[in-house]
Amino acid sequence: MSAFNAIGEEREIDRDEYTPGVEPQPTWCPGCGDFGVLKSLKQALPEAGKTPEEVLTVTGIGCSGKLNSYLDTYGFHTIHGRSLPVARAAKLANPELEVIAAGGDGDGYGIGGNHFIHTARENHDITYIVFNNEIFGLTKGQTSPTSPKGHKSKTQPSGSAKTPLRPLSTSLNAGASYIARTAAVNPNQAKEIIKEAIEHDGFAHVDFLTQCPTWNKDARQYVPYVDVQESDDYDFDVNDRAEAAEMMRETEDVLNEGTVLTGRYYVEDDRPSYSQEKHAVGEMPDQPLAERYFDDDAEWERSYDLLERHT
Amino acid sequence: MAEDLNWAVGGEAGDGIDSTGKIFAQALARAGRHVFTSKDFASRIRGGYTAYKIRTSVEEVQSVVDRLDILVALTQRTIDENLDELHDGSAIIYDGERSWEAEIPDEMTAVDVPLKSLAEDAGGAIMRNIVALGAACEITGFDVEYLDEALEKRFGGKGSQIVENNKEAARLGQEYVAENYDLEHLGYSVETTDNDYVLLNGNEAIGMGAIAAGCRFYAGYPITPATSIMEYLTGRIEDYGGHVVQAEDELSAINMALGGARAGARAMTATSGAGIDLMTETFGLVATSETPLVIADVQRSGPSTGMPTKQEQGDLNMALYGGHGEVPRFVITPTSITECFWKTVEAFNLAEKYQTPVFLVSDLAMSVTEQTFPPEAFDMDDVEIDRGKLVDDDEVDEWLDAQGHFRAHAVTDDGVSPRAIPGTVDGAHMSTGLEHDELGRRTEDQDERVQQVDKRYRKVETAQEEENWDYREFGDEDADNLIISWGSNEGALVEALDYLKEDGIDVRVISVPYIFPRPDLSEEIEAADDVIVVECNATGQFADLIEHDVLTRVKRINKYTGVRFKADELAEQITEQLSAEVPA
Repeated sequence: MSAFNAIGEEREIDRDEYTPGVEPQPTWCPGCGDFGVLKSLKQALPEAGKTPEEVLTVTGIGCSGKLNSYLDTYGFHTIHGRSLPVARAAKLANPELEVIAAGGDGDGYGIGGNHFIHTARENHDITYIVFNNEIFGLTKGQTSPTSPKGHKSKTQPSGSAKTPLRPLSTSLNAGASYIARTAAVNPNQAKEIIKEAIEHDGFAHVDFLTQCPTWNKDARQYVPYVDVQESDDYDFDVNDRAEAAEMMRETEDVLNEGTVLTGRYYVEDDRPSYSQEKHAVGEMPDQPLAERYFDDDAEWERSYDLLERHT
Repeated sequence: MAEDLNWAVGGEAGDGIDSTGKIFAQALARAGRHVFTSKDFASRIRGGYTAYKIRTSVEEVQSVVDRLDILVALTQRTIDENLDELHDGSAIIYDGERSWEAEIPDEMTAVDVPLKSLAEDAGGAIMRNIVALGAACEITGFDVEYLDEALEKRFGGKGSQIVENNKEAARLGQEYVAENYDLEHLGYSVETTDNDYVLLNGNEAIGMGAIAAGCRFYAGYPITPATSIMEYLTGRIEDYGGHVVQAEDELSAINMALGGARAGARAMTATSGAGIDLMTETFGLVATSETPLVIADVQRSGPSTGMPTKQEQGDLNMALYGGHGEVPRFVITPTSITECFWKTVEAFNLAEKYQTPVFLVSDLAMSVTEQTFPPEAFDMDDVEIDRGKLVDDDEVDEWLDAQGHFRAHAVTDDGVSPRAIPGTVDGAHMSTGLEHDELGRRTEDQDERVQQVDKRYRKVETAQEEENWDYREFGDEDADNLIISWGSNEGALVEALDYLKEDGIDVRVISVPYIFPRPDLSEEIEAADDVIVVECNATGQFADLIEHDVLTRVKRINKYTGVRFKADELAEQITEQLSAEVPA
């Protein structure tokens, strides 16, 4: 039995519980793709049986960082690029929490890129949603790691010289065990994918295409989109790393040509998480780290035997 | 002054210098002698001079001295590097069968022992250092049997045959010297006592303090000389239900520690040098989100990569001021190895009681020095845990606003707000590095901004009133000469008192373990004729603070609403201030 009474609570959960009493109306621009992420989370979390108080959402900096201001869970708005270390540590400290990290493409693929790679490599059991709008929105339209080559902005007036980062391929190479791409313009698919990501045991990475109508002037609205699972044009096995890699590469290539491919790209169900690996070798205790000594009456262990090792 | 013996083993990195020295130190501690060790080492794995030095006495020893009585030299460089410390009565143990021709000054006693050959007789050349330990035992009249337990501890895991071979190697070295040399005229003897001592270094004391204080989550990234805290915890903290994470960099390490703390575990990170620079990014978030976190900085020589294996106390300003904006924090600097333990315990309690970052600033010298203490110096029964205003599911309701929202940053008289851990019904709230209101929702409202800044600094004021920020004092309380120090210089200063006394100089020593908040020393300074501040850095960072503390007080006008000064407003405030009293 958990010391934290919200955990494992079995009851009917109303979607509205996730709408905070203060600041219920997001301040994102009209038409912003970020609304799509918020909506899909509000739908997916109750469907996954999670109550707001057993969920911790950890965000970075950017328009996306406001997500947990509009979602009534335990929320922690961190600093630029660092949501993943905070999120995965919270999950390690209390594995019974549902931990969701979120941030933009600059936050996750740029300044926080190293954490993204290592969180995927270690397969931490959390969900990571990247609001990918191919631009820096909150700072008013500068080039981001996923901006297409040649994309012009105030910081790259002659057009970006860089080929965009490949989020899905990077994720696969790094070691994520659930990788999907969805789009704000496809709410049904988005909800299903977010739910699958939450339910997945291991690092679930969702590259969420969120159109920025304000700063990405030549912005695609990511329509029409194609669901690679539903389309007859694509046939690959999401459990097959090589086929997934090929499908991801094509998806990333054609996005900049105007074809929006979405869906599940890679699913590896049996790969142990960091926590499971450590538990198997006796380095992760059964009882959540955070629960030890939570109660007032908890008897703190007196570490006498520590001293004996120094005699 | 302590009747001491100074012993060292030196050679190239990779020669097993460290473990050889540690075995001898453990044997001496076992024999009821006090030990204080130091290391000469470089930042490399193989090659280069390295030495492990032991000062030992039946009385407490707290410092190194510039004298070496017995040296086990595996290389000529070991002799050359220590010529200043060697003296006419020094004995140098070396292996005359080795390829290098030992050049030993005539006035010293050269003790040629076929270390390698004797080690081979005992079962393998690898044990040559143990042969040398046996030889050292004979020169000092230290019973070779005292080595046995230390050898069992060191090699027990490799099987009883290895242990027996090592014991034999030590005896062969001892017997060889007994048969071939008569060194009684050197006058070395090693008295033993029935006292039981524990032997540990500053980083081990910090690690032990962390576990004793209930730290259950540690995240770090390897860096000299902080790594041994992480290595100490790994393999031990698990026995108490904790876990150690090796992160991909220091940015991640401090943010992981922060994540663990937010989820409810007592958490810490430790680093040094450039690592603390990277971690600086997160200081402000820890403070504004009011998350308890212990950040240990084991200082080394900077700036940049500096001298990674050398001593310095150069990070004081960084610990006090690091980070943009104004970051409320506590800065604690343990002054001895026992204090490394107790101040770590205190750091965890302060962090949780006041929900702030606590900097535990140690240094390289303390981190590598092994010292003996009576076990009572670390009495676990004296460890107390205070988790502050952590609220459980019953208490959480006392802190809801009229609409039922948890007031995670409630403005209170003492500045401390309730803390609800994720997973608690009714406790859900936002927390952020943005300025926020009582509920943790971002705000740029001038009144709310000022309320939250004031509340965070009120925690420091409360702590100033309620906690102990005293200094430690040594020497002559009434002396006209006042020496002020912080951190690890305390031991050397205390022993320096003996030397000064011989010359008829009386001094009062004030050793300060708290830098922020810190004790007010103005009366002590006023009472003294001469005031000297001792610290291991070039610019006198603590001296600057001491001078600052006794300077003329000025009146202040401050504004932190997020709006700049306006002319009419300034004129009004200046007028107001001109007729106000100068603050104490």
